[in-house]
Amino acid sequence: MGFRDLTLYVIRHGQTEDNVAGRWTGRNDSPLTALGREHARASGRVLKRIAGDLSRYDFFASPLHRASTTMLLTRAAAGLPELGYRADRRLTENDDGDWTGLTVDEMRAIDPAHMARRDADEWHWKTPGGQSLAELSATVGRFLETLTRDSVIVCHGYTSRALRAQILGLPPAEAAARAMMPNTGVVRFADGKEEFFPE
Amino acid sequence: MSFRDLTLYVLRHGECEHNLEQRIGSHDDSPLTAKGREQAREKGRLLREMVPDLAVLDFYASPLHRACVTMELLREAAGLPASGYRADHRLMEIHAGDHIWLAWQDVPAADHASFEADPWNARRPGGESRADLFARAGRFLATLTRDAVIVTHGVTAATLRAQYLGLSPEACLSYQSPNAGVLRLSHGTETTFGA
Repeated sequence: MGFRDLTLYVIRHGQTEDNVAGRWTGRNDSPLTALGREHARASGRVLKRIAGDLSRYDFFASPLHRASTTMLLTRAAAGLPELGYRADRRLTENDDGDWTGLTVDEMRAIDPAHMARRDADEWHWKTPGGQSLAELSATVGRFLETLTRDSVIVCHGYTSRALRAQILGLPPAEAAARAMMPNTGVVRFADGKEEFFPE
Repeated sequence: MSFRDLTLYVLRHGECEHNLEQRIGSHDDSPLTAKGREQAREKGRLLREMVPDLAVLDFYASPLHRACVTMELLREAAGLPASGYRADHRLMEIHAGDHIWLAWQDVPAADHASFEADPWNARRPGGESRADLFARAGRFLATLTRDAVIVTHGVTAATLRAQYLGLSPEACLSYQSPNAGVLRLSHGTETTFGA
């Protein structure tokens, strides 16, 4: 059985201070805002509503603080004990290299030609010293290969785009065209389809 | 100004479940145990005794959950708000590649042999060497401008110490960082509190 035969629920971490400022956090961390903590709890309530018996699922989070904290809040709001998940490094956010912590406007001011190349082919583009979505996609693919049961996955904006590309088998141009998940709500992947559930 | 002119308080995260299970945690994470949470609070109380004015310090943590939770618990125990620190990826634990989450007893014998042959330069498959981590820790230290509290991991703490004290690879490799206590680096010397 492959991961495409499983039902997977994907949740992005709640809003962080960097999200508010438009900064790319990458593999640093930024604290959840008060709204971000509420985002996480709302995702837990959605999960409880749509996923049935939650004891059927494995739970995985990125080990970065904003995602693991979201997992704790989500599980509690879904009526589960906070602990009882695995934190896996292959769910860590994309590495933004030397541009970690910058906004897109700041990146454009530093190197407009490089940012124009992003517009042409986002999936294979990378920041100086960072990694591309194509590379991130290979990493999350290795994570998905380890799954044996239906699962709930709490991760990041770019990681969730890479997960979607792998789960649905999207070619790079189509994967790049699909939007970032919001900071709250649950995406269900089942039977080769994607469905978003807001609160 | 060099980071060697600053006073640095280097701390490891509190005890975690994977420490008890004798697993390689590295860039995965596991929850702090009850003892680990108490170790974090104790570090905060120690810092409050050691430093007359904590407000003059910068605070940095590894972005891995166990280090940030340790930071938040210690800040609260020191009388500070939980937030108010920076999480920097250069403080993450050494990357153990494909051996992450293995129990130490399950690490292949050939891997142990390569580490014994050249412990400073050996890498686990897809991971970092101690020399790689030494360079990464140096890049972090070069960014510091004020005295700082740094919450990190066992091998990274040993590496920050070696950078600060200007130690040889052999001296860096022989140091074991405890889960408890605070290491103060100041005026070219080290002092350990509460370990």
